Amino acid sequence: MIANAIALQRYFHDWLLNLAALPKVTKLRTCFGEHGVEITFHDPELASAYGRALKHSIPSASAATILNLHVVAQDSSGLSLPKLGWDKTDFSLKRVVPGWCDNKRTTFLLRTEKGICLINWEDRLAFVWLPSHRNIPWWERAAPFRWLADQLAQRLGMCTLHCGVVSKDGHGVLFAGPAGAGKSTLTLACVGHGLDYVGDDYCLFEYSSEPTCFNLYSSAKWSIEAAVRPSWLSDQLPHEIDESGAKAVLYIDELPSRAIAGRTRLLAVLMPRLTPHHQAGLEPASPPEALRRLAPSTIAQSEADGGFLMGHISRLVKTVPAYHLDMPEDTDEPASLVSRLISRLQTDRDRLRHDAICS
Amino acid sequence: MNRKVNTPAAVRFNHDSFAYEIFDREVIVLNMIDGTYYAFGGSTPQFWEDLVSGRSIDRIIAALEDRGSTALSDVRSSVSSFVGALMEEQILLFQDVDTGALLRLNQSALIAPFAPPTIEKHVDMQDLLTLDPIHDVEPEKGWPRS
Repeated sequence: MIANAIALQRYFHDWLLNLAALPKVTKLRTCFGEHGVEITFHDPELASAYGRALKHSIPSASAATILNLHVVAQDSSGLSLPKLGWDKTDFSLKRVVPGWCDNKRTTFLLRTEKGICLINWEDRLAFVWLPSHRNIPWWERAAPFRWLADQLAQRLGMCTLHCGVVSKDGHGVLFAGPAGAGKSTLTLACVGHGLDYVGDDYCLFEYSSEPTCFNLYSSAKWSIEAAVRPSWLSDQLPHEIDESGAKAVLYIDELPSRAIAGRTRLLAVLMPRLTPHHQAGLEPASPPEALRRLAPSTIAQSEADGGFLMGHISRLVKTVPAYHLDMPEDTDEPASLVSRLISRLQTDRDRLRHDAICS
Repeated sequence: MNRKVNTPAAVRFNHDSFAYEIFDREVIVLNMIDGTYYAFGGSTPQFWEDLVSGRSIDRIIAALEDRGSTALSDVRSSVSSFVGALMEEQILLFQDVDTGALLRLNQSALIAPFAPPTIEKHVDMQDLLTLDPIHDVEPEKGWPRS
């Protein structure tokens, strides 16, 4: 029996050390903000499942590797997991298992996958163990290891946000709202309008000198039965459809003439809302309204500390303007409006900076 | 907020379950466990920091009463009811002793007339947190029951 996180770490370490060779591994180096994460998949099926949404983002050679992640499945590696000596007092409502965490280590229970993850932050080494690649649900393929990204981001002073983000010439806007609010629809409408994709559901956020969002995944989703859908998707076959047939997934990097921006400087928070009218419009919103649309769903889904997230989100909404965006059924018009808004805010910002320098 | 409550000497904020942010006209509090969020209006932003950091509630009420424009009994009853309601929600927890620190309320340059604190509660995010409920552990396998 494995009694605690230290013993679990030793179990994975020993397995890794005793591997005579790594005959079937697939390595993937992916961006995490300005950093790099190196993932070793000990099964090509795992690489296919997890890697599709991550393969587009290749860090520069100078980017430091902040985590080495090994992903292994029992059915292909033969690595079984002994009985774990935990009880229900060790668990929380989320994936993190508080009873099996300390300053150096975090343990996650992956309930849907029936898997486990152990991270040693000091050694920058992590293991994900699953019974089989078949256990990976579609949403995990579309947004791999998001729960791990939540904790990694916090350790770097960053955070993951539940939002859509698009960019134009390095400047972007963030779409906030709970599931079904229209974040993905608006993101995809903007991508169809020529704006760069940063994310439709999750992004990495950093506030050092200015509020900045980083891309995490190449995947974008939409509801097949959605009442409002960008027109360009009518001619676009989805790359994947979820098991229930309700959600379609596209990998933006696999589409010709669609671009992903690795980072963007945020200029505004937009809160889409469907309107029966035919015209798209912007209405100024207050910082508390923006916080209410962004914080609850972000904190609810995140494995990071809620107070930490609240601080980051509050700082963002107090810094950039927020708007309600009325979204009619024809999504071309709101996408055009978003594009014009980014240009205007960018011009205003450049003018302010110029005036500040001149004075 | 008209029920009679026993107001404690002081309270503290329940940081284990909630996070808050103060804006000009309201204080937003978010329950990090079940997704419920609250907006507290009226004069709440003016006295919130004093309240959650363990200053004496009597001293806070006295400072608010000094601002005039509202009947003294109204200040006491509305603040006491507000504190009681937030204690019921577990946002505020009982604290026996006043920290004794100076009130920020008295140091503020902005002296706005008192407005009774208001409470808005929104539960529309709770579904997000119940998607993956905790499972019991199967002792034989050392693994949570699905």
